[in-house]
Amino acid sequence: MAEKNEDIGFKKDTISKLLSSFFKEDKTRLSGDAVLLVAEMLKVFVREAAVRSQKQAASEDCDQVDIEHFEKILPQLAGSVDSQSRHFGEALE
Amino acid sequence: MTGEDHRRGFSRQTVAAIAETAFRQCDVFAKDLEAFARHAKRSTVNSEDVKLIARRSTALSIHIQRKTEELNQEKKSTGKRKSRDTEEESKE
Repeated sequence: MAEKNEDIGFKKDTISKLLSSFFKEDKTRLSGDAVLLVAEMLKVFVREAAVRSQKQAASEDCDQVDIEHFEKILPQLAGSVDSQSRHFGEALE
Repeated sequence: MTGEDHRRGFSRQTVAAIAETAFRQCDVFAKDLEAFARHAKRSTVNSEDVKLIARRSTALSIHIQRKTEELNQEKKSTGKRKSRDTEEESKE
């Protein structure tokens, strides 16, 4: 499966429209490179989520990867990319 | 650990949860990218801004840096046509 990793990814157009929809200001635009790089980051994000969830399921001797496995690995995953991690928000409030 | 096989199936709920989380992560990325660009007095988000959001993970930073270099290499060989085209269609 490792060889297929390079081909599967997010479409440039999808990421472009998605990011644009989340911008607060109308004037904010995206360079082509930025879109490609964010697509790459999301690909890595999803891949890490999947792999870590599988390892969690394996460590619990489960046959299937269930949502609890994903939920357990999510805090550390989010913390590695997220500058607005929920924990910090709660601490400040 | 001899029998360490990670090929397990994912429950549909898990697939949906991963998808939703990735979607929400886009919102976080977008807000941060916009803030970084604005801070640099730009209205166009560029690769430097993306590198900043990857800064918390060394592995991810290296990966993005490598990808940036790949893209720059491609531009040198095919010319700058590509990036100019896509700059037009960023906000619809």
